[in-house]
Amino acid sequence: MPPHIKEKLQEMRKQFISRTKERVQEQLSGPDAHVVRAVSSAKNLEAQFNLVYEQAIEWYALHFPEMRFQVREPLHQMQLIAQIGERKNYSQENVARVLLNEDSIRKVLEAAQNSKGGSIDAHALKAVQSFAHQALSLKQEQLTLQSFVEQQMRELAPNFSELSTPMIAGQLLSKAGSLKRLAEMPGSTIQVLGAEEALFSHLKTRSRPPKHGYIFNHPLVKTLPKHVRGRMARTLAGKMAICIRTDFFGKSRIVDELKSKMEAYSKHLSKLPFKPKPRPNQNANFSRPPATPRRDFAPSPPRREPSSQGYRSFRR
Amino acid sequence: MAMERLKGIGNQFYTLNLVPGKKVYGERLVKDANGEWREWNPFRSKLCAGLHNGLMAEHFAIHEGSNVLYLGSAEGTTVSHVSDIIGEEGLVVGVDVSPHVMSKFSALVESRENILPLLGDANQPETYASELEGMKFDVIVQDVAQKNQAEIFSKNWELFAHPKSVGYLVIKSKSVDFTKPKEQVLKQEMKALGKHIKVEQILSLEKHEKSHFLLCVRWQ
Repeated sequence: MPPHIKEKLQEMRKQFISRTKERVQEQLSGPDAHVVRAVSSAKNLEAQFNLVYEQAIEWYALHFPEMRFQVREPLHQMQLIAQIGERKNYSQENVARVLLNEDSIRKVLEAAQNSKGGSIDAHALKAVQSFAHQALSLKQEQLTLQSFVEQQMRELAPNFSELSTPMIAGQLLSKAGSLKRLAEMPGSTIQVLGAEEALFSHLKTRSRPPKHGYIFNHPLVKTLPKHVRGRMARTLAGKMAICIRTDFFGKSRIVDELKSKMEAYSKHLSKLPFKPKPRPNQNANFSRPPATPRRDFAPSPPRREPSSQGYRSFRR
Repeated sequence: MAMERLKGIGNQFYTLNLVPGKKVYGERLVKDANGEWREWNPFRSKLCAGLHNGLMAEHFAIHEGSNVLYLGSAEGTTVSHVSDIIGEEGLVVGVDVSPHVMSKFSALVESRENILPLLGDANQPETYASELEGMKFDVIVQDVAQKNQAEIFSKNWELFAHPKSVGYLVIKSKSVDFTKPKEQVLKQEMKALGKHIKVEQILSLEKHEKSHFLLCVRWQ
């Protein structure tokens, strides 16, 4: 390659590198990128909490098994273990710091008195309490992240987070990947974001389509009777799409009217009686035998000769 | 005659390392009389899978000194091997749409002077055509997971291919339509390429990547 061409290419390369760097920085510093990471981190923390909680509560059950049935909330269980520890130390005063209900306090104290659990030595107790502390700090971390998500969503997309709760807004944003992609989605996609397994199964094997994904958790949808949830989900998702686009392209406030419409619609739907429609036989027009809806899309396992080990060898 | 920078020994392919001593993605390095070679993994690179599935190494259009446009460069595993093969005199422009992945690709670019990074949408080649200043490429490789793969390829082909160019287009049938059988999708995409593009070879990469095909194309 002649040297002047080589020089030109080197110059071009430097420009490409700096231009790309600028663009990457621009795209990665959108607040939505941070919210997306925060949502996935919060999910991760929940999973971690569950693992550590399991360790703590199972171990503690050697000493005071009845506690987990008297106190239902995992957070309270961890607090009791961390703050009080041994059965003999349970008293009105220190249990009342964790539980608020007089009835529950009394039941826990009774259970502590009459427990069939064994004794626990100082070292083992320390280990269990350390797990409980870890669980509590994971939960604290998760709650902090969730409130970060909510606060960011309110700033980033005020209409959208008011209409759908900030938490659901965060989940939908996380699924879409960025606010821009979310704004490009039709309401029908927003309706089923979070129900991918059911959606793809429907597309592939003609099973029934999902009526709602993350949107199911919205109070206006969740509280409705089953037969009208789909209608609410569809309408609400459409309005969400409007809000998202308003937020993405310029933030005028339009949510108040939409929200009151949706609340009125939800109220109307909740009063509708259930009239089951006769459902056509879905398999009637199939030219091939109806497929059993399969949720994994791996190819069928190869047929194997029956082995001497009997049914166990066919298990996957 | 210039020494080959791509060789096959037994059932593996190797590319001559442009940056001796350095690995890109944990691949095996092998030294011999000619220098240091990087093992090319057909399960990670569709081009290498193509070589394993019928693409003749002697007819492989990417060789020393080639200009390559690589659409869908991602983190650069395949681009690094292309960079090895084309050597210091060659040039490869790596295009990808994702900023997360492009920032990792940039780390590769630092150490190899024959790679140019480009953050752009291959679906809209007009947006980066001016940056390429009318440059035409000997080889255009495309490996993107989009619904309109053939359309994207033909748009870029019209803009950046010269009369003798060769194209390597990966058809990921699941990205086009995962409900249809892959042969049907292949036919559909070949039709969508248009009349100006002639498909010279169709390779099934089934052994290495499920439901993938590699098409070798030229101008009609």
